[in-house]
Amino acid sequence: MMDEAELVNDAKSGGREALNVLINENYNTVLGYCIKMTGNTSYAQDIAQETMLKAVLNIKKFRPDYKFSSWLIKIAVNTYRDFLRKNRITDSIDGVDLFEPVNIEGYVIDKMYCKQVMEILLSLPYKKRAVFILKHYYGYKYEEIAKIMDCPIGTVRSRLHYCIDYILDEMERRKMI
Amino acid sequence: MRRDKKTGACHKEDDYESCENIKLSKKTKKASDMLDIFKEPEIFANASEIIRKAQIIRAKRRDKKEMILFLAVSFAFVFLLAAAAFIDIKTVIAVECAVYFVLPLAAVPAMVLRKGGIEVRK
Repeated sequence: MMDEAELVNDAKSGGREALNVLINENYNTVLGYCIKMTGNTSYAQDIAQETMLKAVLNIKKFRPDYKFSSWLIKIAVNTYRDFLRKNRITDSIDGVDLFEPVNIEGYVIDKMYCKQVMEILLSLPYKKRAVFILKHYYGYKYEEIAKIMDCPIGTVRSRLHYCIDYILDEMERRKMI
Repeated sequence: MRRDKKTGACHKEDDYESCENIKLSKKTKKASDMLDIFKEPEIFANASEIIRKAQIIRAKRRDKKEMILFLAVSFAFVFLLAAAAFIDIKTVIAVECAVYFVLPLAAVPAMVLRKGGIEVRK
């Protein structure tokens, strides 16, 4: 079993099998990130596919000071930004595949509650939302987020702080907490 | 824990969690739990399709580059010949003959090289 560095090196020299493995191992991470960013499964799949395509085309530009998954997330961040510019869409919360509700009564409540949480996330500006998602759901360090988002660490800190305050305020306003 | 006086943001990496704990403790923990509404997707990526698309895009890019190079060289050659014709028409004719003779011979190895260069190793 090859480790990530070996797989990347093999992929860089044109190894199709290595590329296959790298794509399959990281696709769900990228897709998960895209779903959290867009709140829409269909958009997320488009962006994840586009991200993977860009990664394959630019595999030779990959530098080993990044983790491969971080590099993919960085591409996904840029692809999502381009997607917003190109389509001029407002974020939609339709079609999000969240979690399996346990019973019928819970289903209605859960759906409403998930929708509210998603609304709060989507009401954040996308740069701030990206920072929050990377920290909260993926546990990236400030430094890694700064690299991914191409911004100073101070900006990451303030964006994250803004997000936490905003989310708590919104949840309080909606009487969720 | 150290925080920025202006923004209230946490200074250090570890402060992120302590910020939450100290500032709003239970409320923040509850909010954090509530945000965990996502289940990670388990979709199988169609890697072959992605690689195939990438190969098509690469081939198109390479064709475009070659076309630009070919046009540039052709224009340069024609202009050079036109300029040379003012000086010595016999030399121009000789050069043209040499080019038309060599071009078909060079085309075959060039095509073989071109085909060999784009394959992705299996």
